[in-house]
Amino acid sequence: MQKKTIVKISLMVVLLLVFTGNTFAQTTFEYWTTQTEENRVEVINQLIDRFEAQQDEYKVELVTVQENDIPTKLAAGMAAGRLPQMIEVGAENILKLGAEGMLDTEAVNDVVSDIGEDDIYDGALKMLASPEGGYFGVPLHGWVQGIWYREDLFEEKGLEAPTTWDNIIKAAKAFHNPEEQKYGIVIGTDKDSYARQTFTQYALSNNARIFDKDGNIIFNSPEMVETLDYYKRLAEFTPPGPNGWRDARDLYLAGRVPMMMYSTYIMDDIGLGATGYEGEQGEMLKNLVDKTNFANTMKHKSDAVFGQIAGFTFIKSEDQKKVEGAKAFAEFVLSGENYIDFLHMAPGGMNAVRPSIANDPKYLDHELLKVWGDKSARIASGLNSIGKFGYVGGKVFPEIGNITSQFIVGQTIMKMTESGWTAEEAAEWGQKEMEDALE
Amino acid sequence: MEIKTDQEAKLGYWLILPTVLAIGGLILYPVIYNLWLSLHKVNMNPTQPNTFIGIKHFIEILTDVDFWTAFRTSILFTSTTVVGTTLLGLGVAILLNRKFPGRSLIRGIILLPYVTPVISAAFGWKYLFNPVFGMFNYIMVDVLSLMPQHINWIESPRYAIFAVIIFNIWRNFPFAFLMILAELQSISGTLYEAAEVDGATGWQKFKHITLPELKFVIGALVILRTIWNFYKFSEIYLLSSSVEVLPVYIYEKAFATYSFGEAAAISAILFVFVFGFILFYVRKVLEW
Repeated sequence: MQKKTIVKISLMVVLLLVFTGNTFAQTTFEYWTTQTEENRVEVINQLIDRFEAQQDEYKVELVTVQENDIPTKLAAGMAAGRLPQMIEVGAENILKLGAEGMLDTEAVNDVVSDIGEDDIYDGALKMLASPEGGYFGVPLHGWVQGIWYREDLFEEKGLEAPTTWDNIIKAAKAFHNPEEQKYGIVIGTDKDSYARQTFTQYALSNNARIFDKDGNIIFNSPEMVETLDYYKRLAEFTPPGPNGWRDARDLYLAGRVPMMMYSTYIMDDIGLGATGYEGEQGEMLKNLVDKTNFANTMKHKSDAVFGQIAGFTFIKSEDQKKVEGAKAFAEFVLSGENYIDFLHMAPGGMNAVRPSIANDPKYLDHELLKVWGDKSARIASGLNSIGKFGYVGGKVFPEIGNITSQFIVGQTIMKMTESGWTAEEAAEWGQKEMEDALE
Repeated sequence: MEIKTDQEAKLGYWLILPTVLAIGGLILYPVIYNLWLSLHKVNMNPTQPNTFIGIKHFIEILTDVDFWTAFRTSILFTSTTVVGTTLLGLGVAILLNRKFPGRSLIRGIILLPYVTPVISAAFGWKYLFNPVFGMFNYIMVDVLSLMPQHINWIESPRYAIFAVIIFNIWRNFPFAFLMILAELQSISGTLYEAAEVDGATGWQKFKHITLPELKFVIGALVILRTIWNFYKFSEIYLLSSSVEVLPVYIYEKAFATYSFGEAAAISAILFVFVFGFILFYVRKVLEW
């Protein structure tokens, strides 16, 4: 009798363990984000909590990585064989991973088709397309770059909006007054991504490209040399030494420059005063929103808009369960209110890639977006017509990732602005470096 | 009797085994792995094999202009900072090696740069030398009019090397100061008294008593600082990305161009160079 009871009890314990074991055996996957600011990490953590509360199969391990460190962190991760299952990063890095054959494109395509290709802007999908068809990444959010300028000061001096090459350099010259630490414009002149991003818009507006349609490097083309030469002349009206995005932001907010190139992420910085936010303020002008306008299309030989699409992508993994978890989380973030909460962590900066969300009243109902009023819709409209160096005539060249990770464009610009090289010399140097980078 | 010693010897080997394993694992393995990497074209994708290419990397590096530019920058940086930190440390130590009120407080304050976390010190300096808002430019240009215009000391490739050298000397001289001061305090006062009786001047006392007594501590400081600064990465890279010394060059080779094999080969070359320097220095200069 006693023996039987013991057997029964042990059987029950075993069964209990088997059933409950399932719920305990959660799968944890790693997710890298380039959103490193504390308040943004908080939003992501809230989304993760919401996701984990909703199901108990998967857990998310969040790792934050600085955007400029992504190439190095990925390289180290690849070499060590310890990559995350899911990354949220800019298009170039996604293309580079795709070209290395590191991505689980099947998982990416599953998520894209679950969301529905019709409900993602074409312009955004194009940026993450694979040359073999299908996609390397799921578009998540995007920003548009352009010249932010002080409309009030432009009117005072009777200058025209900085939308053409001539107008830009004319205005920069008119405002440049280094004796009083006031400068004409801030554009990228350092060895970083910012320099490539600001330069790209000038190059595209002059029909200058890095790749021709067969994938050959044509960085020393007459169009590119012409653009470099213009950029060098324009850089004479910038603050001393190499400049990066931080200079652009700080000097514009402090009223030291009337023009600077920046992405839509500046919208919440400029709008701070108007929203009554009391946080990190420093030296900053009053009512900057009303004084500011945005020229996002640059006109020269053709119209050029530059921007960036960031997306989710999935790394091939031995453990398919982890990839399934990452897919579920990606779909969770891209849906309804979760998606709106995500985009609101950088209102104006992060723009929706799904038309259904972009027009959702709930999305538009944010203090900061209201402060900008009509301007905010106009600003976001550039997202669909972004042009970039890695995309020529409908073709994608993932090789651009090797060029961007070495900051060759920025280095080329520095050769001119810091070492006094001519545009021709710099273009030849850049050409050679780019060819080496693709070897 | 003989059997016993044999057993004792065996026991001895067992006792040193953990140390041998630890040193082998922590020092020998990375060195050998680095050498192995330097002879291969390393594939980024861990699922694909690396290809053996012999000494091709070494030939490429030794014929690369950029490598020699970085090498020259490294030599300039190392030599100026080693001389700078040692001389400044020596000078401050001698000044503070006498009695005055508040001496221990001053000695503590002098150590501050060395104990401040490098990242906060670097950001402080960046702000000090900021081209628009920085105090240094403000004083030099706007107050004293010693320079015609504001300069971006930290990021401009022409000036950044000087900023980095000054930063390194400022940050590391307290270490030299500490070592030299400790040695100064152990020099017996009777030596100086005897010299005074013989009518020696201050300079003669310094030259014939202080310096010879300090020879070994200064010798050790120079060699340590040379090794440390030749491989210095953090203080340089955090302050300015425009100064390409060899460690920064290796970092960029490895992580921006993904040439791990080439980066490993550069490390191997550096190792041989520094090792040669140490052997020469210890035999000829220190005469150990």
